[in-house]
Amino acid sequence: MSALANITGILLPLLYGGALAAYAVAFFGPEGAGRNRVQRPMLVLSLLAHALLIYAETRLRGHCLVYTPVEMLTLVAFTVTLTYTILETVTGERGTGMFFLALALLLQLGFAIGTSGPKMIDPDPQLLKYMVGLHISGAIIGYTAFAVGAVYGVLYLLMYRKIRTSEFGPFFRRLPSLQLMERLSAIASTVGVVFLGAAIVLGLFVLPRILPEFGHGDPKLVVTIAVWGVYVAALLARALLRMDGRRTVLLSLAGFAGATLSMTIINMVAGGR
Amino acid sequence: MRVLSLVASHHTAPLDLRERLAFAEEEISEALVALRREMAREAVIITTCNRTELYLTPADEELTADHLRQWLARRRDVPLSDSHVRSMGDPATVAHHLFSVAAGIDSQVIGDIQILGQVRDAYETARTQGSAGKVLSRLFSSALHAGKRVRSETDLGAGAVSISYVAVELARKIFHPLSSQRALVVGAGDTGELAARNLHEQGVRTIAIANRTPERAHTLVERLGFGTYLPMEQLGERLREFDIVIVSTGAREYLVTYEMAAASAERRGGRPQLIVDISVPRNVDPRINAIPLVFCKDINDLNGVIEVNVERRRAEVPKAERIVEEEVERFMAWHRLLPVTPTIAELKRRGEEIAHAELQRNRNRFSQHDYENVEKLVGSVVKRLLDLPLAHLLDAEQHPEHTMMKAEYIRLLFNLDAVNGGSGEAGGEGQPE
Repeated sequence: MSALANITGILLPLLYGGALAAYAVAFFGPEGAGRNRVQRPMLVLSLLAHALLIYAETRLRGHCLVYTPVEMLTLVAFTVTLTYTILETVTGERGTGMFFLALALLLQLGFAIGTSGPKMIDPDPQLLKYMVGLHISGAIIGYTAFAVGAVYGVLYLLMYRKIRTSEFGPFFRRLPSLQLMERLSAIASTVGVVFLGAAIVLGLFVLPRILPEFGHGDPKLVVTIAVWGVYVAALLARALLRMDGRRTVLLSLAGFAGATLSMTIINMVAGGR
Repeated sequence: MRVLSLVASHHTAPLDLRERLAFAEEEISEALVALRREMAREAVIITTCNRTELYLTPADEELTADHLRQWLARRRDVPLSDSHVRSMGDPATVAHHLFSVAAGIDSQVIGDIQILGQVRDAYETARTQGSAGKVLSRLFSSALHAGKRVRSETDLGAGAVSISYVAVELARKIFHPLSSQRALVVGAGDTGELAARNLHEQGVRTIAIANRTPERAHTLVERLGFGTYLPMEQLGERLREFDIVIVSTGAREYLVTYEMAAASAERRGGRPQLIVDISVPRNVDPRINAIPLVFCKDINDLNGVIEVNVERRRAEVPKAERIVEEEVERFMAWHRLLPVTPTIAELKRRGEEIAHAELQRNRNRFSQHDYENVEKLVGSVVKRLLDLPLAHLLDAEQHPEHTMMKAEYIRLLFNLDAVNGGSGEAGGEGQPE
């Protein structure tokens, strides 16, 4: 198992790099090369290798990779890639693949650097309970959906600027339409709100019972609820007040940036748990 | 096998001459029949607004491209000098030209999409009529293949290169789906009509036409067969209803003002709006581009896109040329084997005949089961024996100058001429496999 973890651990960033390069070549290359033959196999291969890595690491460590934020990075990277693969399969749209793969590669590198070789950690038995597992899974899916929404949001703003300033280069040619990206960003944010909302409710119910030190003023909880609130406000404003796509995207991006920054600071201060 | 071609295109003939040379659809079949009756074994005619091209394999070895020019001049009743046409008699040159045409390299607008379909139609007409035989069928199939390769492997046809197409391309990058958007075309002139048609082609179903002269707008709506008329005086009030607005009139003032667009944007509930001004002088206040979610583009912006697209297409020409060269080489490899094709066929037939005769002579010596096995074995031996001389002949691609000599030797060694009545010809017509 250790060998499998080592091999996939080395191979995965290379595969992600290869897939990213294939998508980048298609993105910046001529229109005829918009869909090259390497893209899809590289994407699927990366996904399979990632699944293997998660399996090997889980077996090796003896617990799901949710024990530390660094461990979670690889799960988030995997979910981002999986989400993109599903989107590509359903919509046939490959113009945004490069950006998702860059995000996945970044997260995976964070995991690779953060975990200097597999370590045996005795998991906290409390964290292995079924309800806690659901809570953590909900949070991971929720944040991943926010990350996907954020990528579409950034691309929306980029495209908006390109059209506004009449820069009709590769970004203009390859990216999907503004309305489609705004819609995809909103869908991803909605999925994030639902899953993170469920994770918060479960957490409020379960965590006080199993973690005696847990309090309702827990910074992670406060930040999570605040982020969730920002997203809910953005989506409600979009649906009820018909707030325009650009403002919705900006608000969602502010929520995501706030979440990433706060969680990083809290994790650094709290030592990762 | 010779292939002749005569080309009168935008490179050689002025527009009025090209117009007179062009064959109407219903005239092509008759012209093909006439060509075959008078001078050709096979013939294909390509005729578009930019070119009239004749391709044929001559029935008479003495026939030259000049005869072809005279025939065309007579047929269309126009004076046609040497400078008005390009004549080609070398198969490689003919193939190179036709493949370049199919690829869109030779078009007035580089990368023209329509030409591939026009070449296909020309070939289909000739094929249906029985005018496209082995040689021209191969030539045109290869041309279509080259054209498709250039389309899929290069950027030669990418990006819009006309103002109205660019406007639609821009709309496609803002709205999703384009078909559910509402469009307004202000101006009932040629450009307005083209814009309306392009929008409709791209699936936009709600299109309104506004014009200062209502009659012209009504006439355009009638001619288009879709769309509705919007009175010009309602433009300001109803601007908010439209996602895509294309303005193309001869007015000398702003028809869409900043105030109009700002009021419209406020009432659109955050939905984006594209206003394209393709009028000279401008009919849309350029300050509108500063209103959030209202994208206002004028002819300068669109020309910028066109220039970028044309430049991108030009940059792809060398790549397209390489594909054309590859396909010409492939066609010529096939063409070089044409003279030895009968020898190949006869050699195979000779081997099969000998095998068959020997098998028949000894048939009674075997049971049915054994006979079938022996038949297979003999067939295999004959094939293996003939593989070597055939390989030498097919090596014509590498040493074309030796091909006919090798064919003569093979005919002599295997006594093919005696068997076939002593025709004594190594060449002839045929179709290499």
